[in-house]
Amino acid sequence: MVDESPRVLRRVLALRTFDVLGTAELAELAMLAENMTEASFTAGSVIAPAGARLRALHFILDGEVATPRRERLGARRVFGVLDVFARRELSAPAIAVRDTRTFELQAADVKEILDENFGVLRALLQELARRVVGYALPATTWVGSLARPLGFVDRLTLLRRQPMYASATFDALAMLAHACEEVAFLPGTTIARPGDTANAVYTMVEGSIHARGDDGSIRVLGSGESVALFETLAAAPHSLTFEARTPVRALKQSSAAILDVIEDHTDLGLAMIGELARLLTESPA
Amino acid sequence: MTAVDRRVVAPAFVLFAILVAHSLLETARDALFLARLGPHLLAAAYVAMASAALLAIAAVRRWARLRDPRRVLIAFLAVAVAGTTAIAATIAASPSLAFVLYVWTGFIATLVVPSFWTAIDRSSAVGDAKRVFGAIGAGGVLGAMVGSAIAGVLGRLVPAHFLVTAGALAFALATVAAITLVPRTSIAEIPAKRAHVEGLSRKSRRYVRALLGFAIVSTFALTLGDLVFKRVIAERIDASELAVTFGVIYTGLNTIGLVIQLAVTPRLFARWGVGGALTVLPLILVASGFGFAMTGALVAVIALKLGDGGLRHSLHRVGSEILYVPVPSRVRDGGKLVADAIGQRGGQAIAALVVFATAALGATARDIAAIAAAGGVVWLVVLWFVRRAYVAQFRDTLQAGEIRRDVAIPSLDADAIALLSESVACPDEVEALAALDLLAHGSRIPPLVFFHPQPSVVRHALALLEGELPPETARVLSHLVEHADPKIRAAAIAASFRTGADRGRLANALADPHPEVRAAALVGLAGDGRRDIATAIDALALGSTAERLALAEAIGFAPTARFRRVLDDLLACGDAAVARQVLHVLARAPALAEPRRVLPFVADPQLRGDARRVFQALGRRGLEVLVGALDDPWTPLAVRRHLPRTISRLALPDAAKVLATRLPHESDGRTELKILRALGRLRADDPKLAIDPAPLLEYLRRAVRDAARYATFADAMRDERDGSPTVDLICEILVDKRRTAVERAFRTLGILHPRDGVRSAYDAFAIGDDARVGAAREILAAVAPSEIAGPLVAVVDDLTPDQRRARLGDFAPVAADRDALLAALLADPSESLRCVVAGYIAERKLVGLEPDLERMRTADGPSLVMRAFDQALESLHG
Repeated sequence: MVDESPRVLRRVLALRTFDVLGTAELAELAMLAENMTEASFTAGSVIAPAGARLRALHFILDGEVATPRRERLGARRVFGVLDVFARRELSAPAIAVRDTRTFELQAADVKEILDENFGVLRALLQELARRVVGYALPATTWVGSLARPLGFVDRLTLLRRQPMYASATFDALAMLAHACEEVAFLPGTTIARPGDTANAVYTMVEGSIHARGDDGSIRVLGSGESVALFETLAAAPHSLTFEARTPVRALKQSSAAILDVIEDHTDLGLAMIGELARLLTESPA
Repeated sequence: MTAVDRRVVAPAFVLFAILVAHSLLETARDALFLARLGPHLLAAAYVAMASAALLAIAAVRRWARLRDPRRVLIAFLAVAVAGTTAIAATIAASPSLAFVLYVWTGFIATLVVPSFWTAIDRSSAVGDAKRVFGAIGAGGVLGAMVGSAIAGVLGRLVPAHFLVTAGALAFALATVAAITLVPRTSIAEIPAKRAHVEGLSRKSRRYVRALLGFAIVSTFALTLGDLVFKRVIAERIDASELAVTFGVIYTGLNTIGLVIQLAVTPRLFARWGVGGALTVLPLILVASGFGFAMTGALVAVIALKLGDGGLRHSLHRVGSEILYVPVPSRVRDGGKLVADAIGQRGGQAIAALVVFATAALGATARDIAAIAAAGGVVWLVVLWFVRRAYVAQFRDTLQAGEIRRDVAIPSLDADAIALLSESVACPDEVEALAALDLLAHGSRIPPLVFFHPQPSVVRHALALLEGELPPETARVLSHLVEHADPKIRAAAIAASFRTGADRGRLANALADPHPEVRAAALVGLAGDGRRDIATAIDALALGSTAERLALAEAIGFAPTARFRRVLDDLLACGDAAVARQVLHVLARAPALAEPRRVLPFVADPQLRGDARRVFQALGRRGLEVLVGALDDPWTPLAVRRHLPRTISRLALPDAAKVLATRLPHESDGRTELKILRALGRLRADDPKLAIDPAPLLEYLRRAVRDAARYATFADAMRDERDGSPTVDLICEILVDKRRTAVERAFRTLGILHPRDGVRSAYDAFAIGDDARVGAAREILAAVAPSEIAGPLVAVVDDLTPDQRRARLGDFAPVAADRDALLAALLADPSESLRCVVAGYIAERKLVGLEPDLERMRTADGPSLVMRAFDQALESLHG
């Protein structure tokens, strides 16, 4: 039997140098390494044609890839995360700018791999969330019963209307609904300040919140909208000041609760990654 | 005719035609061979048959490029027509051509019949095979009966060699039938990943070799048994009555075989599985063979022949064919023909040699019966291995299409260390950091890394140091007391205290502007017992985050008992970064850790990993605290739910026992799931880890009952759909609950059988294609207790409500009407389900269920549930 240890070790060493895998455990990297294949592309060759779905993620070892979004990705970057998770056909071909070597992870295996490696899933979720901090999701008007306090079904309905949770299984959503806390803010209360690490999402039941930027710009958030969603997923600091303008009632989902649910229901984490990828692919390059 | 009927009738007719032709030829060959040449050339004929068949198979595969089994079958049939016609035209010319006919008949049968089954295997998943192979095989039995009858009639009317012409005509009919009726389609096989194809082929070839052994030993034992029967009958029946006696016996046996084929075989496969069904014939052979050997009773020989005649061409043949279904076609298409040819002819040849040898030694029929029975025992032993290999083959096939999960971090041998050391020395900071992580995993931080030009690399190396500084590391570090980077300087000062450097210079470090350096100096000087030093340390412990962090890091270089209180204070300060650093220190110096103070950090997703590492380091002392917390009903759920995985990380033999015992009694669903996962991980890491199956089996039964209940309720609730979103939600919950319960059942089976591919079977049911589901069923049948496997499959199968209820039996709960159904749902352990059902009752104003609402509103339940019931009760009256 061929001893595969040196191969796996070399691959783990190479994977460890990727930013996105910096916090993954070594055992997770070993599994990732074992399920990859090495691919080589000569300069100018097409890695994936336009109009096709990308069949694999490419962890670039050396060389350079021109992506359909006109980015140039070099060594230690991953090409294809957005396209694979958003399940989009490529708008333009992906081309090796120079002789390029990559580790390919088949798209069909990505779900299983992330399912097995919560650390990698969390890192990917955080990375994508970090890239969409500042994006505004479309408002979802809340037409619930406004019972005081919210009943379980009201919580479920409110959460399910959030695009990030829209495709969650019932079990995952129920778990989150149970873990939520209903909170109220008086007018004038500052809910979050720039620089503070975001540790909870607030989905508004009623009331109005002002999100104020450094430049003085103000965005008004109303019922059905979520405050600090991406910052919380990214474990990033707030960049805006959130202040209640009217009496506010909201459902608070702590980052710990969200991560707990994702750990038990990786399908939710994968759906969230898919939604983040969709947001990023739909945004201008 | 339905599609299923066509799938049976068409191939059954082809086999019927083949066996008609074969029986005609067989009759002609026996008559001509014995009449012209005599029995002394039989052994030579067998050897010639086997050799010719092997050569033909090799030739077809090598030169004709025919690998599609259907084409191979048609080609062999065409050869059969041509060859038989040629023999028919010349057989009258020379007596020696009877030898050719004898060899030809066996040669063609050896090629055509296995080719037929290989072609059918291609179009059948294992579930289909169990259902329809019996009926298809019945076509063959019927063909043999009809062929013999035709031969009997023709034999009276024309000379024997005209039967050869009839055989050629029958083969021509069979060829046309094969061209038109043998299915062209192949079922989609379970795809293997490119990287696993070769491994799977290797395992499959090994499995086919096991089947070859099975075929040889079974043929050997059956041939000897048959010979005993013929010899005994010849000894005890008058020669003039032999033909009639054999005629009656064979007609009777064929009839029994046909009935068994149609009525018994499918049921036996369904109930006992392939392996169980295949044990029947060798058991009969062993019992009757030893029975005759010991008593000489005729009834024992008749029982032997009844078993052989009734089961060999039905149950045994069909079962043997099913054993090939899990083999990938690329291995089966070629391997099966060879294995069949060698197995059958080889088994017969060995039996013939044994008979010759024993005859020379003067053995009696009873002696040969004893040898046949002994062969039956070997057959049972081989079958035991084959049964395991059969399930393993399905498992391997499923796993070849999956990612590899059982991957460990490679251990660091000399080559690996050399490779990593080279990378650590690399100026590329990122590569050096990555290599350091891997070296740290093997507890091998090379001292020279502290001279790395990148301060970040040196800092990372410092952070990875485990426990007290090793002397060689301390020596290297002590040279860096003037380093520009305060963290490195701090580490150097800590090292200097170990190596006895100039204390005056070190004391000056107390005035350093950086807290890291001051903290290192304070920790180093703490051993002097000076009050001012102790006061300064306390001040740092109460200081800024940076100062607290610096103090924790400094203590990490010299973790002694005098700092226990300081560490406790730092851990309780509420700063996550400081807590993480303290947990690092405690993981390196577990003697300083008070497990109960570490316990709350298990609830924090940011610090959980660090807290778990402390418990790992604590070992048995940590386990006691964790188990106590798991048993304590007052432990907060946020902590409790993460205890199972923490316990499993300890990888102590007791950990599995504790978790398994706890499982059936755990009241919190999420903790229950975590226990299952933790046990699964423990057993996956160490499949030999001892585990008490009793609590797991108890839990398994409960999980399957839960799954059956949710499946039945979901079926019933679908009938109640009235456009209400709440009913849709209830249906969704029930489907989800069923899925979760099924997952729990499979996880439990996976814990009980960590090497048997239960996880793959679960995934296969979820994917749902025929080939995978068929494989999954076989795995399930092999690992699950029989009373569990049926209901579990009934839950996951796509069935009508009535079919499911019938297959679930007493696993299916009964709800007489809608109100009874809703009342049962209100009493369900799932809080979410109860809340939603309460809302539905209120929404529909089902006042008749008010007493149930009142009763199920438990005063000590979670507030969200009580609120749902209160709101429902209010709404019912509103």
